[in-house]
Amino acid sequence: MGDGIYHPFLHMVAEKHMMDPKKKYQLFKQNNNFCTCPWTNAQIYTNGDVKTCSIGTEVLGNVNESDILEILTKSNTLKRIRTNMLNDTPDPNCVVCQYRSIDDDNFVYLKDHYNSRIKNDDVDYDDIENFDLRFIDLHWSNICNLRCVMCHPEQSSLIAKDENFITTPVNQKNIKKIREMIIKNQTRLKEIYLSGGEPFYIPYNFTLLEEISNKDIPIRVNSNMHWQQNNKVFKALLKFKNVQLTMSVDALNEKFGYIRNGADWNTFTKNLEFVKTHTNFDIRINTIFSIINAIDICDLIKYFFAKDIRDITINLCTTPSPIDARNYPKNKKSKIVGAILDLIKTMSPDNVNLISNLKNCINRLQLDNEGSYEDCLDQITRKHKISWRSVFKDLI
Amino acid sequence: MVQQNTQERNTIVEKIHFDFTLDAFTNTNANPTIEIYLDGETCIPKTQISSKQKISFDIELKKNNQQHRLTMYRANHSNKGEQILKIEKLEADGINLNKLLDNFYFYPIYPNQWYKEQLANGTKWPEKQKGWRDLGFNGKWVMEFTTPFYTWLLKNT
Repeated sequence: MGDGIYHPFLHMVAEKHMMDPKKKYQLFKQNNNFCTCPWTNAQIYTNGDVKTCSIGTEVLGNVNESDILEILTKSNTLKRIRTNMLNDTPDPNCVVCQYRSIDDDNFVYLKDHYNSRIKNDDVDYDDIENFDLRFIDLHWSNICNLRCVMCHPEQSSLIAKDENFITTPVNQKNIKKIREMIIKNQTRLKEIYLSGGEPFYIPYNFTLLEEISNKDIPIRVNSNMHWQQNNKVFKALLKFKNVQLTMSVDALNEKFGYIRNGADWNTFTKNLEFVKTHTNFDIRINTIFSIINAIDICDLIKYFFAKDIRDITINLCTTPSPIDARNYPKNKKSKIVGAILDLIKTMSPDNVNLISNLKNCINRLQLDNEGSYEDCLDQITRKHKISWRSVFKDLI
Repeated sequence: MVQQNTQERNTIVEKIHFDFTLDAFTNTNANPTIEIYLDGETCIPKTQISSKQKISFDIELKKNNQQHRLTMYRANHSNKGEQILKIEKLEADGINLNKLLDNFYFYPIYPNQWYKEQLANGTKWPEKQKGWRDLGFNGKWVMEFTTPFYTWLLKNT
């Protein structure tokens, strides 16, 4: 460290914490509320907020205000979350995973993603002040080249600019500190997750990826796929052995460009084919289900199935609330539900995640309508050159 | 120092309770028998299985980072008529290990005459059969694991 201050977190070495094997087994296999994240993962958000993961509901602290080690070891919220987990008690921070676990036992939720990757590692879960960096979730900048209709200023610099929203970014000193923390612990890392903003345009990502010498670390990246093929971050990712690239896409052709304002379907497909030529990239799809793509969801899935891409996640759109799928025209909902059910019948039962996601879409559609979407779409239209009425004809 | 090593050797690192739920089907006069050993030490002496029953025992594992073999010898099939020993359920400390049964091997003792006939007809039966739960031949069923047991279990489930 160049600042002359001793940072114990940066000097953390791989100490062997041998937890009682039976207790560890019980945590991973018999405890419904246990997740490794509070001990091993940190999400750094675009404004410096620290959370347990991307779906944790509580802010543990902010790296612009407190030392990250202090946050990850001394936060009272974090101690409470860990204690609840050890006691197999649901914690409010983890409500999203809990909600999903109630729906379907076979559904893989985020805690499973993390738990499955670390179950064979020694981490001292008995210690509620222990933090042992194994995963990092970097949403550390909102730099983005699109204005997706379901996005907001904190995750898109273009929306922030449009709305004169003043963001407080993670300051350079802390970016450096986080980067050094990752480099120091790189031999033990199980995953680096890059999101944003658009990770391919965030310069810190390039610096970090270039500085990491352990190219075995799995990298998970979310992208809107709108970048030049000589993009520096993409080139840096080519050096890693295992990159899981999650492409954000909600509809095909013209609707894609409308939902992901500024996006172009041809650019997306061109880059998709380009990525497919690189064997270190594992491609998956992430889509957001709302009134504006409800009618297209089956076509979207069939399109990617035809390209042999079957790892598809569908999240439900909750903001802006008027475009929540529950507000789809009442008299047309049954047609979409029928189409989804027909699609499920054609799918392999092994595709548990996607089937569960599609069932969630049906459940959402079947909720009572909560209001009108016209005003919201009119507002969105002002940012577009064409009216939503000419693109989303099913909503008229 | 020697005494300390002896003490270390005798310290029980893990104690695991096993329950095998077994059943037997036969159209002969004899029932299958089983004997269970941990690395050559008897856990269950020769026992006849005539109907569905639970066989329970504890094992003590005294060292970490060791390989162990839990072996069940299945015998008393005269090779005339049908006689099946069925492993219905395997539990360790109450944890259902049935999914793991698919990974363990049974080493059948094929009847000599039958084996030769099979060979003559072009079928060579393998030395070991993976995942068998219905044991229609005499032989030994083997579960291999390492210690700590729970670390092995977490890794394999």
